[in-house]
Amino acid sequence: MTNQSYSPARRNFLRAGAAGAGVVALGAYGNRHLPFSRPALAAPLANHKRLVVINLVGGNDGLNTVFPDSGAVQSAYLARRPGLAMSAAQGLSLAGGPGLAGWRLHPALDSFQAIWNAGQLAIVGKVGYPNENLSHFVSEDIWSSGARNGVALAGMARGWIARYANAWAGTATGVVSVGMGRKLDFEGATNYPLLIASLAAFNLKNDSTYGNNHILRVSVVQDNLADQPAGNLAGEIAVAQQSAQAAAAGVQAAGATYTAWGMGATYPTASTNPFTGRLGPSLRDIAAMIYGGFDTRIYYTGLPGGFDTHSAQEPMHTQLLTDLDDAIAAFRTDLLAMNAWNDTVILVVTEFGRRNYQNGSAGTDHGHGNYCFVMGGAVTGGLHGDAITAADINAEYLPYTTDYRDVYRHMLEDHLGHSAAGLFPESQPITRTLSIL
Amino acid sequence: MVPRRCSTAFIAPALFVFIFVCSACGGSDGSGGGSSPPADPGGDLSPMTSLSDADKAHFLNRTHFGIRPTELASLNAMGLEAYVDWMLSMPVDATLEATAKSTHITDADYPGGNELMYWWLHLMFHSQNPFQENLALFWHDHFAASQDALVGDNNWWMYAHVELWRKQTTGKLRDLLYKMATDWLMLVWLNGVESTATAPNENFAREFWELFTLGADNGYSQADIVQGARTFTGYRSVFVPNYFGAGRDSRVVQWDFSRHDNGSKTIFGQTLNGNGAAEYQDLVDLTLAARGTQVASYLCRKLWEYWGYRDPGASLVNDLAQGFIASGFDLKLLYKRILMSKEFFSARAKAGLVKNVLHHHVGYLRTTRCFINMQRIDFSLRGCAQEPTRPPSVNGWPKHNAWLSSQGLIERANFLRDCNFYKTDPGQTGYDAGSLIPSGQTGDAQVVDHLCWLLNVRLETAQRDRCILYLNQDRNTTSVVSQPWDFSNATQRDKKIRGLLYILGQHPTYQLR
Repeated sequence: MTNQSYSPARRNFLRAGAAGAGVVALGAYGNRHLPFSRPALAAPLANHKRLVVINLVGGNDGLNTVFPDSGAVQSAYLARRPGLAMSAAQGLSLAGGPGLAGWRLHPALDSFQAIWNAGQLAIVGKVGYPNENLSHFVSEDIWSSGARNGVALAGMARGWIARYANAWAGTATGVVSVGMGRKLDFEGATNYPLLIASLAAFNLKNDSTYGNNHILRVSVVQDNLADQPAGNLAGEIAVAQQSAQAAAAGVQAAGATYTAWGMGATYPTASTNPFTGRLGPSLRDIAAMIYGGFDTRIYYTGLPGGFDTHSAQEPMHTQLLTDLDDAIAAFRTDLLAMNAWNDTVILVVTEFGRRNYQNGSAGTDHGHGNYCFVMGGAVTGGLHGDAITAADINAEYLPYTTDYRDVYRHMLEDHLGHSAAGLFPESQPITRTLSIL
Repeated sequence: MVPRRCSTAFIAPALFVFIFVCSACGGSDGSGGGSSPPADPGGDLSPMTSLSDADKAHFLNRTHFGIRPTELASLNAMGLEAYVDWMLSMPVDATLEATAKSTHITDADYPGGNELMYWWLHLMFHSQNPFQENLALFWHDHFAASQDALVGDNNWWMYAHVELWRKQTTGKLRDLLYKMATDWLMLVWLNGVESTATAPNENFAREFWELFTLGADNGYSQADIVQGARTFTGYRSVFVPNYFGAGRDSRVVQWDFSRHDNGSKTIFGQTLNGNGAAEYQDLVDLTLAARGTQVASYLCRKLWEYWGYRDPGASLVNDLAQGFIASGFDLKLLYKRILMSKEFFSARAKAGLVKNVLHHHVGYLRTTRCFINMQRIDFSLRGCAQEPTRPPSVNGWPKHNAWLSSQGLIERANFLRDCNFYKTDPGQTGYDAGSLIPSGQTGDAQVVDHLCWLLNVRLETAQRDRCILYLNQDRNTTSVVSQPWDFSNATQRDKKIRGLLYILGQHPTYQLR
């Protein structure tokens, strides 16, 4: 053993703190690595359209989110929900936009109202899918896969976002999920989309127990990866490991760039209330990635649970909507400040609506049709799709008259500007052309 | 919230998952495709007669969790066939089983969700027959059901569910399928207890064929699913006050004939007469009789991909399947045939399979014995998206290259770091990484070579030189300095061997088994 001094080997890929980000893209032997490097941008990509999907997991109670304040519809609503209905006085007026003059927003949604009054909130009525299923599992599968039978897409990726990414956004960060775990929506994407818990969690940790020796260890690891020969599975893995480290560095750099900007909005964070502060951190991370110049087309996040309000719906529902409203308000502030609001569309979805009548536990059971909310600088505000009628409320379930796949299609084609042909292969009993964008 | 079948249940606002599966791209392949399978080369399924050192390392890495020298010694002493027979005899280690429960479960009637996981992890870490847990993981992934379907007062159902995979998968397939179909967690997980004659639920019937026995769109129709859903009716979940006494409530699954559709059904073109609860077994038997070749091929392929290699040729699968059918679907004989076959020891098999996270974490802990607190291990498993007892969906976990997501790889590195960082955890009291090194083999190159053998890491020459150099250096605040390797210096030895474990554990070949 000689005592030569340590000389770092090739480490071209991996300079600590390098701004370039690359994300794993590893296929079976065929090298599907799709590295990208770009300068650290302290601004969003110019003229880059993006979609931010916010999923309210559990089935949001749409009928208490946008509710009638007058007439026969209100009478039906009050009769159906004698202990749970919102009074007209409680709600926020929707008279400031077209189509919902006799309706009000849940009082927690003051930012929604402001966006509505600015003409940039579209409320899509009675969205759903055929042969409604009351199972969370099945319904989530349907929304995530973009197919009535989420498993019956022979030869295609199962997730609708995965199919979109494979067709139109195949870069390493083309589609990104934050804080939502492994969603079916991404299943089958060939570019290993970046699915992270948070920016902070996607980081190679230091080891202060071993301090300086740990730094030496990391150097040896990186030099070993650089020395790994290509041409077999181990070589592919080495590339994946290098890319992961570069991606983590790139994401961390984006976070740092955003923080250094100093203009970021104040997002709601966790408090003693278990249903607040959950969405804000994820939207803040997305804002940081947008500000960092990521080429992402679809960001996916949401409130992972809580909306399944079978009992004691209030005040839980108010807390959930407060979290949603406050987080979106901060996000919008950020996007306006970084001049990205006009290129960004926010789509709020949930797997189904809730039953028209309240149950015996001051809550609501699983239902069918529901609202989608769409907002952004390019959005044509107002009611889209169909309004709910008294007859709808007198039935057990709200019907659907707009297929959720037509909402997805509209986002992809008329906002992102990419054809959705073939991405939703099943036939639909109902089709509708939307004009939100 | 009700349990989710798809997506991770968000139980704590912690690190979550980052990896996804690509089941649309060719069966259990998680890679997203990209390569075409080679032309069908067949495969020699005749048994091996003698093993090289490399064969032995391959066998242990695939069927155990990493390598322990004691396991190699047993394999050497017994020979392959006797060792395989011993593994498959599933000897019960009553002491370990009792310790696992008493260590991690506070109230046996009401085990906590995490406690159940710790209980099983304890068994994986300390089992004398790690193959038992390796095999159990295969079935837990195949018949994937999550404890998240339980609601607290019935968490104890998970014991029987885990024990099914740990102890009852070496008999006949028909028995296993029946036990699975009537397992209480499964009946809740796939809505069996809600499925009644008036409102049959198709969930279990669909997955029974699509995921559990035949594969998607492989020999069944929607009409069969509708009829199968009628068959799988009649169980219900019942709340039982004071079930445990002392006012301690629980719930049980009971058969209720009034909920069962006892009319005759037509499935696979054959008539299944009303037969009450016995119809569960009748439909298992009808599936094996009418679709036996498909079932055998589907399971043989999946088992081969778990232990052997990806994309086995049709003739190899067919050969295995025919033997499986001829044996009356005897699982033990099938395992033995696979694990003793020359093809299992072929160069193609040895080329490597990507470790899932449990293979990685459990293997690292078993090999290094560098244990940290269970909560930390669980935190990492959750971050890497593979907590045992909590598969993300009925489709199980991702497979193969799908484990190589960016955040997953970062998490693996961070887990190795945690094992060093938390060196004061009770599990490491008195721990000396130097104890991994046999006496008389304490030179720098010998240490590197021994740890490479232990971890089944294959270094390039330059990498090996760099690792040896690492043992002869340290780093101060500004630069790397010379510090000749001295095994007799306990502090230096522990620091550098831990460092070497961190380095070797991130070698690309350590991601393979």
